[in-house]
Amino acid sequence: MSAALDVAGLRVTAPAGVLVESLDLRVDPGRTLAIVGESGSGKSMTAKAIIGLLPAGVTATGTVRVGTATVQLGGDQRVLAGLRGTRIGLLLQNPFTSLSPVHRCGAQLAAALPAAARTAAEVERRLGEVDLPGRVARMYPFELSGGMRQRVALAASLASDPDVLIGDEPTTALDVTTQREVLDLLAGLQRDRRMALVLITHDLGVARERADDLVVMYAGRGVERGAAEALFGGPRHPYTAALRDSDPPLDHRVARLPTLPGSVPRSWEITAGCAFAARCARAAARCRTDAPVEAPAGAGRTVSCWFPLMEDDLAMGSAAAQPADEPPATATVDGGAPLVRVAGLTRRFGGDAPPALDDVSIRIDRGEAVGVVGESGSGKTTLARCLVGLEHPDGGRIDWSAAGPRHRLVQIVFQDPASALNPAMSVGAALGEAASRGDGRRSVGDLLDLVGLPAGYARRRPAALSGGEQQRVAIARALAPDPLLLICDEAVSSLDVSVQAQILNLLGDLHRRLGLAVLFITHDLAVVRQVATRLYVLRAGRVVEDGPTESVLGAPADAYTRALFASVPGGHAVDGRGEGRVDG
Amino acid sequence: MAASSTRHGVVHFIAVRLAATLALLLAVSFVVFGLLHLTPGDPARNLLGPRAPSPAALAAVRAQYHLDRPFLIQYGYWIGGVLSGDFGHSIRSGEAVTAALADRVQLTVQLAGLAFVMTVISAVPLGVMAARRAGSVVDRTVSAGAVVGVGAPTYAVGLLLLYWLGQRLRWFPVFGSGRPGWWSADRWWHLVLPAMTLAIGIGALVFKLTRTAVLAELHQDYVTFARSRGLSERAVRALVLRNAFIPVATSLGLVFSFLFGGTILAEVTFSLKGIGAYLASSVTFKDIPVVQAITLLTAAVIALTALAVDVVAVVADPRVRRRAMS
Amino acid sequence: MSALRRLGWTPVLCGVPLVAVVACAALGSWLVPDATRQDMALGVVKAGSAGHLLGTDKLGRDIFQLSIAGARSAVVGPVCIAIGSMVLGVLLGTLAGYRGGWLDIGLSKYADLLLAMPTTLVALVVAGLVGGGYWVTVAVLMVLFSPTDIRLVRSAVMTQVTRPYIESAKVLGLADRRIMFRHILPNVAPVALATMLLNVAFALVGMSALSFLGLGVGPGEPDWGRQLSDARKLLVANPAAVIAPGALIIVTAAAINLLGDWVQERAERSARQR
Repeated sequence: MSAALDVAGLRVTAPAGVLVESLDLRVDPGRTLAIVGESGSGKSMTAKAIIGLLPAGVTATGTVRVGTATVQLGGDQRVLAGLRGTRIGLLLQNPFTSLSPVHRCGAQLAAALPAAARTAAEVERRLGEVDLPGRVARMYPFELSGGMRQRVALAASLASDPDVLIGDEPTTALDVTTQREVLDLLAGLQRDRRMALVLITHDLGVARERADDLVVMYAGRGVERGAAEALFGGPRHPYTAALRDSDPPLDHRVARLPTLPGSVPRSWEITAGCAFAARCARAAARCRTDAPVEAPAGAGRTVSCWFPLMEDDLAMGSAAAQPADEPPATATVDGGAPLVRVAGLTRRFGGDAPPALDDVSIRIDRGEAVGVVGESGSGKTTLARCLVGLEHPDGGRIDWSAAGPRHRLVQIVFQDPASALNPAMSVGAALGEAASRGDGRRSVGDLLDLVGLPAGYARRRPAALSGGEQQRVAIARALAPDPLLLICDEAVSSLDVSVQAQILNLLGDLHRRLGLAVLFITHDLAVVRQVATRLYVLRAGRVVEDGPTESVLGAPADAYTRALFASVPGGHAVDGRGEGRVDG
Repeated sequence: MAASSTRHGVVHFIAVRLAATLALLLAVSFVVFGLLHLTPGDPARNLLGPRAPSPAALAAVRAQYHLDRPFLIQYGYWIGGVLSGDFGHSIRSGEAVTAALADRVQLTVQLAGLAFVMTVISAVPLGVMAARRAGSVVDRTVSAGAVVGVGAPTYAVGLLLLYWLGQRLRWFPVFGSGRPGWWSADRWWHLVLPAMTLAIGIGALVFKLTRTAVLAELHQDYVTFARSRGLSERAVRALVLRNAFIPVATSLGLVFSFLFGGTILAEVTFSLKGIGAYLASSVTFKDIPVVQAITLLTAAVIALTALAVDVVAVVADPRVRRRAMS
Repeated sequence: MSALRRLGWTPVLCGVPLVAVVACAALGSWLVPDATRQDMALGVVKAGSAGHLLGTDKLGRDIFQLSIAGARSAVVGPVCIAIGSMVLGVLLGTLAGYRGGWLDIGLSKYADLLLAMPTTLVALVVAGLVGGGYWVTVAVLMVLFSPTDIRLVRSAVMTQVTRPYIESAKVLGLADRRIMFRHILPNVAPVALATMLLNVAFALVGMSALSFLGLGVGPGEPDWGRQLSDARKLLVANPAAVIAPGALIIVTAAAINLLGDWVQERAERSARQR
């Protein structure tokens, strides 16, 4: 069977340097290929290069074969332009910007339909194919929710019936329940149309659940290729193994997530040798001088490593990811009075919008790690903001059992570390300012040490730090006034999987060392499992379920919690050993 | 969104904006009227102008302009006159202001209109072209030229053009307004140079605005997505222009503002008998009734333009329409 | 030398004429002490005549010297206007953007009102009726320019206020004043400074337009706008009397504009990285 899409020797170059280096990939009709990688891996550029829509200044070379048509990238653009839409389609990540805001959905969909079929009936049929009612055709994109917009975009990208669809993180911006619906929809469309799907994602769960075949990318290079099940069950490349192991499991808690030191380098910074050598525990002299060649590693799989993992290596590697017993619930110091008790909290945002918080009651004991889980619009962020005083509730009360100004009781770490630090202020100045709000015990050096950063970082500006390092500084700043409670509002959601593991370990260490209470707010059930001993599930401003993490996630009582749990991609695989994917 | 409720919402929005515009004009008229008292010196003395300030004359002026009554009453008389078309009499010439303006308005409208047309047909296509070829030599050259054009003052450019095309090459008349009339070819011929002068300054601004707007749209995701679906370049361009039209149209209000300032200077430079030059000379002569009339008229035209721009925004942008209705 | 090349040719190309103009402004009274000396007997003389490189105007004043002397009024007033306008903009814009509420609404309405009127017209009417004069015109223009700056600073501040680093500062319990001046201002400053530079160009054009119309400087003072107004009638007799000041205004304004655009682009680029 000839491949639906076959890419050979793809090389993408930007003014800064090489972004993607000699990548090969192939996907057969009706099958799904996932391209997995962290930020800077070059996966998004790969998608744009294949379809020939690179930004200005970025060029690509290589061969792209779609069905029977072959194109040399970098050559005549017209052939590739002819393939767009009719043979290869693209689905982008952000549903809010993919469609023109001033044209109706139906018109945008119809624009790419073959001329003979540009009728209202056909538009309605296409909308029905993505489970949308016909009236959507007359609506504007801004009138639809994110999930609905993405479905319209999907229908539009399929308008000319391409043989291959490339999805660049198509569900990353959606809620986890919506994500499952859209991915199911995609799978169905694939079956009906015998369409190949190239799914680009950083979410290992999605890849594990949906992909037939897998390409793992690191710093612009493909490090391992093969059947998804085989790669996840028995990775040969050290990076694949590390990535798989850093991904927090959903069904049990680990004492400490295995991590990789450092962070992903820029692809053009690697001049010689293996891109992964600097962070690889197995690296030898050869790895630093010779770039590895892609070699077969079993039936239908390849790996680019001089010292690929073997079966027995895997047994050793997984030792670090032992399931751990849930730590006992911390007894409260005062024998009963929680650190903070929230009772009946209500917050409305004007007009007839549903309340952001509706009679929410939670409690956090001293030194306890509590999790709050919910999707967008659940009110979890509003709850955090009320606790730190950024917003004032309309009803209910918040009672603290400790005395002192609020900034010494509770501090917060936000989701995006880059915008959470003042770009014009050095790290040392920011930490010094925060420390002056405490009782002056902590010095800048102490704070940096606390979060595992070298003392020399005090002189640097945030822009010179990586995402993980920035978040460490944000945590240090939050700890500077010695608060009793640290709120983490989606604090690891914007980080790469490997960096996420580092920060989760750090938070766990700080929680134990400092006896700090932690309120961990997230939409990611697997992450919250690693951090929290007790859990609240929020939906549309109300607490629908709460209890010890083990029981809420192990045997959810509420239907919504069950649906949430079931929606997590790859949620049913155990420790990546490939024990069956859940189909459909 | 049912069509009828949309229309109802839009009409309501326009009505509200119209009311706001009238309120604004009322406030402006207050200030304009106050100019009489802002001017240093005794208002009665100022209103006499070149005539001898005998006690009898002063008393007559005080009675004529109700200067002994409270401010609000004076304002009332004045605004009453304005609304019935009477702006008083020029201190300088004694003729009715309305009559003096009527002669001159035609020329100013012709000049501004010609300049506006010249601007739109040259600057907008250039802006679109520069955006599509952003970063190229062509773009950088035209953009640099635009920067010079924006900064170059109207009168300086006008005089230089006068010298070159008028004096040296004798292509256009150097001074004068030509024979009056909407269709008078002589009039239009006299207006070419001044209109060109205005169009250079304003055209540079419109060019910059258009280029920025189109460039911003070209970088949007929906352009990449549209191309990926196989839409022709022409179809993509239609999408982009439709989106870019909105910020360009709404900033034309700003352009209008510039046009007014420039018209004054152009008319003075080329010795044209328009209301701009009339305003300039009236200010020098402290001919307050004329100044008040022209200022108020200008404010009214600008306010109505702003209203028109808001209407265009509501009609062209469905998001604004939605917000306007809520 | 290599430092200059790293900057790019824009700032260098623009910098040269600007340095020359500023030098003339500063050293004018020393370079050409009797620029305004009249010679009624001589009257108008064409450019290139003996002793007068650019000829004379109808009062017998040497055009070349007059142009150099005119640099002062072209620099001093506009710079004051730009600085004054931006100071107002920073103070009021920061308060409006940070505090919000009635102050913000009031200021926005005020700014909208002022921006609706054409600057030249309002300046002409107000400065003209109140009584011309250089510093009166400067003050009027300063007030007329401030709404743009207020709007600019306000929107820049509002962008920063919603950022998590400002919220973190609030959660740390820092005083409002400290947040505004120590945290927000340094991040708004680059864009503000770039706009200030562009404002100098607009102020230059505005001031000389008003002196062209008869306001601004007194009748005998050297000023490029006034020179142009006086020279209108000399188009035939000595075109240099028109070309010299006109070209000077255009070149100076263009140089400041190009330089300002370049600074603005750099400021925006560094803001985007933040």
